[in-house]
Amino acid sequence: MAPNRKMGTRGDDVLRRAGDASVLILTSLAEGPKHGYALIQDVSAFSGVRLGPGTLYGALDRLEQLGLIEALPSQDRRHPYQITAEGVSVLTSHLDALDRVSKVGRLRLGFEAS
Amino acid sequence: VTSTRRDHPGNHRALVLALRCYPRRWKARHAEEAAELAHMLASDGVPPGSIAFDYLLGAVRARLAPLVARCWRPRTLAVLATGVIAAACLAVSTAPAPAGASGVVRVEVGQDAGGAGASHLAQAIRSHHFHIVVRQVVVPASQVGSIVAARVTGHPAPSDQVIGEIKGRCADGSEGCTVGLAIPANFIGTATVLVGRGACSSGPTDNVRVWHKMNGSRTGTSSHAC
Repeated sequence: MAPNRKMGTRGDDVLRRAGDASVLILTSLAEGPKHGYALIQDVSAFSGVRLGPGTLYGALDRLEQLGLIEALPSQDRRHPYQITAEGVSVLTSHLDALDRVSKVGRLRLGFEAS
Repeated sequence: VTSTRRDHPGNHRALVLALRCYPRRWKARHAEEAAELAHMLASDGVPPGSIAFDYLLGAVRARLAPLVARCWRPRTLAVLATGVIAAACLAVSTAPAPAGASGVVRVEVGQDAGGAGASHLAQAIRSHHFHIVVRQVVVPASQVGSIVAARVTGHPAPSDQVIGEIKGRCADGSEGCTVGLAIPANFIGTATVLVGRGACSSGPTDNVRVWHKMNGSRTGTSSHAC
C-alpha cells in the first residue's frame, strides 16, 4: 500500500477532514496500543482535551475505516487499538504541515524561530 | 452507603437508551466496552448525563455518516449548499421591501379647517422618522386642508431626495390641490411643509402649531391655536 494514499488525490491532508479527535487519538497511539479508557486518559493528559466516549468511538471507527489504526484481539471486553504503518505516515505528514504553519505563525507574531 | 446522583437509575436508563440508538453493527462490536467505559468515566467524576448525551450524539453521527457518504458526496453537498445559498440571496433581493425600507412613503393631509388634518400629516411623517416640520398658514377657503408648500431646507437635496406632491380634491370641490406628499424612503434631509387653514378672527396667522422632528421624538410648540 502506498504510504501517501490517504493524502488524497490533490495531496490534501486527510486528517484535516477527519477532525481534531482523530489527530489526538493517532498521537496517543503513536506511543503504543491502547484501549478506549486509556486513550481518553492519555489524550487528556497530553492535550487537556477530554474526549467524550461517543466522539472517541466515532473517531476510532473512522480511523479504522481509513486503515490508519487497527483493532487488536480483545482483552476481556476491551478492544485495544494500534496505529498502522499508514497511520504513522499520515500522522507524520499532518504534524509536518502543522509544524510549518506553527513556524510561520510564530515568525509573523514576532517570536524567534526555535 | 448513600445513593448518589451518579448511581441514579435514570442515568443508567439514559445510557442504555443512548447505546441502543447505535446501528446494530456498532452495538455488536462496541456496546459492552462502551458501557464499561461509561461506568469508568462516571467513577472518575464525569457527569453521567454528559456521557449519555455524548453517546447519543455519537449514535446520530454513526447513523448519518453512511447515509451522507452514500448519498451526499462532498461535491453534491457543495452544489446543494451553493444552490440553497443562491436561492436564499435571490429570495431576499426580490422580496417586497417592508414599508419605509425603500421606495416612496406616501403621507396625506386630512382636509380639516380646525388643524386636525395637519396634525394627522405630522403624525404620519413622524412615524417614518423624517426630519420634516409641519406648519399651518392661513389660506383662502379653497386651499384649507391642502399642502401649500413643501420646502427642503438645509443642504441641497440630492436628485433622489426630492419630495413629490400628491394631487387631489380641494376644500371647495375643485381639483388640483396638493393633498399629500411622496417622500423618498431614504430621505435624510430636513424640510418644512405648510398646510393651509382657515383664518382666525384674531391672533397670529401662522406658526399655529409646529412639530419639530428631531431624532424620532416630537417636541411640540404651540404658539397659538384658533
